Amino acid sequence: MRVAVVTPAHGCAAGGVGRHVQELARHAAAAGHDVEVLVHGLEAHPPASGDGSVTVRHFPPGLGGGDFAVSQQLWEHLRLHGGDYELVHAHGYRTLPALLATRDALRRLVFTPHWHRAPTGTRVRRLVSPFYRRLGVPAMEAADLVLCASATEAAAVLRLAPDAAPRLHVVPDGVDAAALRAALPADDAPFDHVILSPSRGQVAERAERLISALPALPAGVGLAVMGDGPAVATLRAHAADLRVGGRVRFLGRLDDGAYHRWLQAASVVVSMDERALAATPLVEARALGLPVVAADTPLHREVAELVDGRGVRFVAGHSSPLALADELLAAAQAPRGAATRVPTWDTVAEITLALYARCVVTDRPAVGPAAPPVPA
Amino acid sequence: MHGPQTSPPPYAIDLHAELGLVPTPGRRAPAPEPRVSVVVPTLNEAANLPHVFGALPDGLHEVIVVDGRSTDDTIAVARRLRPDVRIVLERRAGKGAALAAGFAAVTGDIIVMLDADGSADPAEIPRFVAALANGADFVKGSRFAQGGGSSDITPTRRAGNRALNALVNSLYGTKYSDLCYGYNAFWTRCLPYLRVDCDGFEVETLINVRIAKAGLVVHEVPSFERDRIHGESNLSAVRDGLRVLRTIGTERVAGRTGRFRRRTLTAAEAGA
Repeated sequence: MRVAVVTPAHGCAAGGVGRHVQELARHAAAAGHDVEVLVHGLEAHPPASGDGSVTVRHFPPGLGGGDFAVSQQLWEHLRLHGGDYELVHAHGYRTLPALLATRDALRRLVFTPHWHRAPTGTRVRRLVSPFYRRLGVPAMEAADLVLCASATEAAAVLRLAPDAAPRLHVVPDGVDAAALRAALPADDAPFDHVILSPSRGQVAERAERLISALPALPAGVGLAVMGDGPAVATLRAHAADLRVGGRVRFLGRLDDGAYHRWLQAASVVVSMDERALAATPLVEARALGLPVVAADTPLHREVAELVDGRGVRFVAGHSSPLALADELLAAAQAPRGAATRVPTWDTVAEITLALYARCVVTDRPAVGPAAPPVPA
Repeated sequence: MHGPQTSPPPYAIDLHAELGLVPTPGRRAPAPEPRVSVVVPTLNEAANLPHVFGALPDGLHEVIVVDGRSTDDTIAVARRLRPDVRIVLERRAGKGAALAAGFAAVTGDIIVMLDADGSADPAEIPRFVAALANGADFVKGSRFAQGGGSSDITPTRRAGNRALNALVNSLYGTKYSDLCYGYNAFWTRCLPYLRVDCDGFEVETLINVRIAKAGLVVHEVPSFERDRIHGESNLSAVRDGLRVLRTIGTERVAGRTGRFRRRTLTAAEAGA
């Protein structure tokens, strides 16, 4: 099958979406499919590059900027060549303008929204997100398949686009359990015991609550905060104000190797983000047997149950820093034990490819050209 | 937190043992009932102490009198009234300095700040403790909450308090109704957040602002402020009001942290 994956990012250094796309593309290629990844990111890349057997094409942004840059060249490519692919799998909101403009040129469309419950991040992103969210409705209605990473995300999507229900499937994100277990602990961890707040993009929401809990924790316990974004400066000031600046380390964006080393060095992994609709770090932590403290949200409960229902302590979103400190301490002291049901990328790719196959032979009329793909 | 185990589980970490720490007294203290410590700063309050000590509820873990500058027999009276009283000598002047010294001496789980002039009713202490047991980290007495009041506050002090109160609420997203009232109670574990480092009457504001910046859960309980029984107040509305204002400004500049979501429990939520 000839497949195009349209994405704003590709590769593990580009955040959760990039990692997701890279793993799926790699597995699809390994299964014998002809896979092209069409990236419309901001980074300077050569127009085309190889990732093993996967062809990666980069399209520079032409309109807009920042998180919501729109690539005219990608539009053009899809308009001219969209029908060459048996299936186009689009990821995230930044793909929407190109998708909607070229839908008639595509034969089968799979859409993974990577949905957030509420706009997060920079001011521009928060302002533009509602507009993109509205664009998502026709995109999901036009898609042959909509894939969500959790039932919680699926419910949020269906509230906006209820007509997508018959074509919506939940496929959890996978983890690279072998690489996680093989990693050596970070040897530059400056604390006796590390609480890790993971994020592949911007600093996780509500990280200030973790900083607020530090004064109530023993002095040897420190906090490592992954991610970047405008919140970092505010969090630094908050830590300094509480006199715990020396107990917080901001790690920025980490590649997979560094991330795995920090996971190995951690005593507890924590996610206080009440609005997230994907919780891969929780699964990764549990794959290593690390205790997790998480905001008590339907997503976190769903993911904890997915991996085996153990090792995750939930705290109410409005609980006090003292209560949070208690939970962190109790988690760190709890016996470790790796989760028994960890979704790997092998499993996730297998499910996704099975859905591709079903989508291609579906009875639903193809919107785009019905002719077999023309080899390039 | 966890039941006794016959052998340590694999990978189990005892943070306290590893770090050589004694568990901090506080919400997870092994005692079923929290131990309540009352800190009473004094300056020539020998005539008022019998009224204050006489109204203290039973079952207190300790009463700490902080003095060092009285010229009357405050300390002797305190010892006579309550032989188990702990005396902390603090030579620095000011309520803030006295409270800091008293807090450092506390061994209980809950700290109650109580004025020695008889204006605060010690019989209200169980109300504060109940609010802490119901989930609050810090309980503020309020003369302006429903059920509270004051027969002592002047119109000038009331107006100043209201203005300063509004300023703090707007800066920190809090819902304080009585910023400058000194009858408060909190879990001992809150002490690292308070870091009392001022000397004067601005100490209550300093504490309230730092509690808000830390995001601790605050609950207000109504309190009635009576007239001082004997002697003259050491409070000056203008001088101390300006000190409070300066404290608010200093804390704002020191912690340009933006406004995270704050939370003050409602009475219903706190079960009070």
